[in-house]
Amino acid sequence: MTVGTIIKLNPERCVACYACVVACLDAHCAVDEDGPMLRRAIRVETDQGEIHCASLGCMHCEDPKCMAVCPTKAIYRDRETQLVQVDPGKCIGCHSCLVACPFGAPAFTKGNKMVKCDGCIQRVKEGRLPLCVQTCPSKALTFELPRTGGEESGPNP
Amino acid sequence: MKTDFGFFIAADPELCTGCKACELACFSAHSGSAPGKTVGSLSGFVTPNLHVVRTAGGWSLATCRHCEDAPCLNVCQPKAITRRGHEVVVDPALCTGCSDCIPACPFGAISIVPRRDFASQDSCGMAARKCDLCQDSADGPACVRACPNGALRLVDPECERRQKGVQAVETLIALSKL
Amino acid sequence: MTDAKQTGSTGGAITVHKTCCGICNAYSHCGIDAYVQDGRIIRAEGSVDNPHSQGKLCPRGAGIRQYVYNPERILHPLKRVGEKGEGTFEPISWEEAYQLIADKLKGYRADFGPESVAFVAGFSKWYRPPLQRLASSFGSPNYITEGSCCQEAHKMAWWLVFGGIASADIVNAQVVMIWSRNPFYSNMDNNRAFYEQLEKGKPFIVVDPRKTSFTQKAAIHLQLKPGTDGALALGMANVIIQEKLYDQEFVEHYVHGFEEFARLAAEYPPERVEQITGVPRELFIRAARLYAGAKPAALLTSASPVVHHVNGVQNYRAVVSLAALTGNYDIEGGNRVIPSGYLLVTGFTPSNEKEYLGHFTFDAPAMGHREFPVWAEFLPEQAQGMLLPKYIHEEKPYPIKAVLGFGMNHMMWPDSTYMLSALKKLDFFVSVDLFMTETCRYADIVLPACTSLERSDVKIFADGYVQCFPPAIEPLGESRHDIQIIFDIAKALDLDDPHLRMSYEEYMNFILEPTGLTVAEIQANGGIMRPHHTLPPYQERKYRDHGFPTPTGKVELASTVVEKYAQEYGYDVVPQYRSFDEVYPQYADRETWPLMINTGSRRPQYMHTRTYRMKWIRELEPNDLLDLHPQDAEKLGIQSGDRVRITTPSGSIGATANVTATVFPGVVHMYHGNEKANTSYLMDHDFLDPLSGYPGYKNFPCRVEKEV
Repeated sequence: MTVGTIIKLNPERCVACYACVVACLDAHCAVDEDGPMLRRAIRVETDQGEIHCASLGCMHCEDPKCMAVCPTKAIYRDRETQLVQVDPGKCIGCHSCLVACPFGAPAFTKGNKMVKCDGCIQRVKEGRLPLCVQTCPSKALTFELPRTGGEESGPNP
Repeated sequence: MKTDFGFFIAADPELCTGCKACELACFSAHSGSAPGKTVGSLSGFVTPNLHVVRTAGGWSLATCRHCEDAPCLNVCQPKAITRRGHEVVVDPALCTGCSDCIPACPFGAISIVPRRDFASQDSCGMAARKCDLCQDSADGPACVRACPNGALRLVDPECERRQKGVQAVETLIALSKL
Repeated sequence: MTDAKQTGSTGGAITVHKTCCGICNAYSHCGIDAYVQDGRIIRAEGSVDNPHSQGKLCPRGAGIRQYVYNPERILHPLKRVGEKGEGTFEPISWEEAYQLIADKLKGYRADFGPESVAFVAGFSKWYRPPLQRLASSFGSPNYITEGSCCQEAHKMAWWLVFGGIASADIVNAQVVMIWSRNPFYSNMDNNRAFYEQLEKGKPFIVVDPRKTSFTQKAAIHLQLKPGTDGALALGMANVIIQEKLYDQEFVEHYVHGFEEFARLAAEYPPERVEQITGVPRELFIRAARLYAGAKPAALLTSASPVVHHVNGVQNYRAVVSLAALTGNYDIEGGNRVIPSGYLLVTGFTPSNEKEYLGHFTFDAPAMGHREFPVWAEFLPEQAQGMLLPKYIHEEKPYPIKAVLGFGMNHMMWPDSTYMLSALKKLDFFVSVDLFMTETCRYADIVLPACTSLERSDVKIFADGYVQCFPPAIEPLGESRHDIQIIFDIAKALDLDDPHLRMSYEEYMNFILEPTGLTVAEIQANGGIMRPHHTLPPYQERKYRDHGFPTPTGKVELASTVVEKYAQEYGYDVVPQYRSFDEVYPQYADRETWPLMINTGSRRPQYMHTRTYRMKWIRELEPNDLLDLHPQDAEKLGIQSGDRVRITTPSGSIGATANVTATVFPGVVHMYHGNEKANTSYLMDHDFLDPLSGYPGYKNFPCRVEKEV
């Protein structure tokens, strides 16, 4: 069964091959930029050698804790796609969102702002798939835009 | 790639009881007076670098987050506030006590306090002060050590992200089996 | 998209070019959409509309911009001016380079015979037919490829038993037995196909010394001590024979040597097999019954793991014999006989590769043909190149004076100290490569090749698609594609061979001719299409009419090919299992060498030596991990993240410990291809399988210590 909203993961299929991670880097970075890594492929082993894998970007939660705690209201939900975004103009890099996020989605850059999986919002608005979803060789990631009528917010004026 | 992201103290709202032992420990550690556990054991005004506050979600900590793009740093005209490694630091020698940083910080993490000459205990003007992660102490942050409930922790953003990621794998797998 | 930020350009138009990745083997070579602005690729993603790859990429192809634009790309022809290994070169012109090369090679041919020049292809396959042709026309039998240590030996095992390899039909099989492969980390574009079968509930039996994401989903995981595959296979064969689960009709009519084989298998009763392999008897008995009890059942073997052992070919012969016993050969749902097509991709779509290569005879014997006579019969057109450093050092039976290497990497050979000293001694070394590798630093001339995005090439896939894209961008710097370089060298050598005097497009069209397609037509149709004619349906059990392509015309469980050389070379006619300690008693001392090192497991982000230099890939994990079991780690006082030193009889390198319960206790694993933690230093250059000449990469004695 898949988990997550919008970009959904089937953990049964994920083998932490990093295709999504590198594809995301290509989509967001210049060729000589190191990152940061917005999507992570995490592999955990039990003491018995059982392997658990997950590809983790941002869950684009329906009730984003990051948005609730952000002191400058830099985090908002895009009206059209419902994907959770961050406005670098408002972000002060206070890390509150990282503490609030159960998944550790927020990362920080040398530009001193929070960055995270943006759901490939530009591609989505062009009618294309987020690159991680498109690239995954195991088809562990799927994409489903929420039906309209969900809670809306947008970039604050 | 940048790796010296700001470290900071965070409180777990599930464990914090609002007892303020952290505030006392912080003040004692920075005032050079003997560590006290209760207000009665200290003299003078208690001006800690962190404040326990009550919010709708429970007890929370108002303290410096050592922001990556710190508004206090950006607003400080004498450039007394700078980034150094994992910290945002105030240099009391450069600080004029102008107070521009006070409203800039959304957490109210900065106080303007008497600049103290520890030797003579004489006051010499006012300066900004905020959490400095107890950099000068080999034992690390006093507040973390003082908390009777272990509610406080020093957060390293990279470790935080990594640990949450690992935990998230199990969470997601459990969710997928529902 | 942050394109302007990417390039700092004033934002010329962005055009999308269909191209393909070339990092792994030609089974995949997934379609890529290259977004080009001002002649530079600013984004590269999988091609959703490529019917072969459908938009998927693995982590390596996903990062292809860091491959194409890697700072280590060689951009000009270079001539060495410093000491070998130093890396001091000066740029020269192509003309000067070709003149130098031609003069030298002609000289060696005149003074030492054409066999003194070796033509070597590394992992890359796409330029091999012209390289082989170049070697042949030049007169040298020493055409060497990475086949000297990958994929050919496992085909040899099949060839010894059946006369040829047959491909597992996992879609139609009732049961699939995977003998030593981690499908999820190899040719990842097949992952979905595997998942489809797994999710249908198809039982997979997987033999693998490690626990992987795939073994977790298998019906039965046979986790064995590396190198003991032969014993396990014989043990399973014994069960199949004793319990009369084998295809008696097939065996009676089509198998030679059954009695001899059955006697051998009887030496491997369950208790003994459990003791040798570490696999609980209950488990492999169940697996044997499951595989033999289902008809049809498919056996999926793999290119190197089992054959990278000093008894490797024999071990794999025993494994393949299981398909023989059960008659699962040349049938739907079993293993189907599919021709080896263009660039070693099995498939029914024909090409003119064989015609292009022609037939040549040489005066001197190829390297390795006398030393490995079964190899000489199986693969007469290739030398066994693992002997290259030996021929350079010892100059017996004849010296090798020059090497022309295309994507050749010294790490492919066991014992890098020995190999690098051979390259140092070598008179003349030309290295054609994308990147300034450590190997290139030992060359006299370095020539810049280009990637698949900077050239056109033909692919004929197993799924029947034929692919040929125009280049997405101009070759970087002065680089040229390898086939152009080969044709140029042929010209400089004055080789009067029309197959080397073609234009590149003529070459591609020559190869394509049996498909009925031309480069122009394919490129006019988006770069990938199916030939117009449909292929006939698969014909099963052709052996009923034609027999098997073996000397006896039957399946040979006792090999008549091996028998010819058995006396002189000490080979076993039936696939006898020989343990590591039996073959190498000098290393049986468990006090000095308490552990086994196994190299060459797959990590999904690495492809041999290629991707360590891509920063996005390199930063994913520590690159020098040494995987060891908690039991062994505890004994040694090692924790994950500790710096450790691994020492074998051949060498010693540093590594980062990774304690994991996924490995077999007593066995440690390291990943190959990393210049900075080169596991080939740990291997012995004489530690070769006597039938195939393959190095024993999967099994060598070692000790591990925490570094202080």
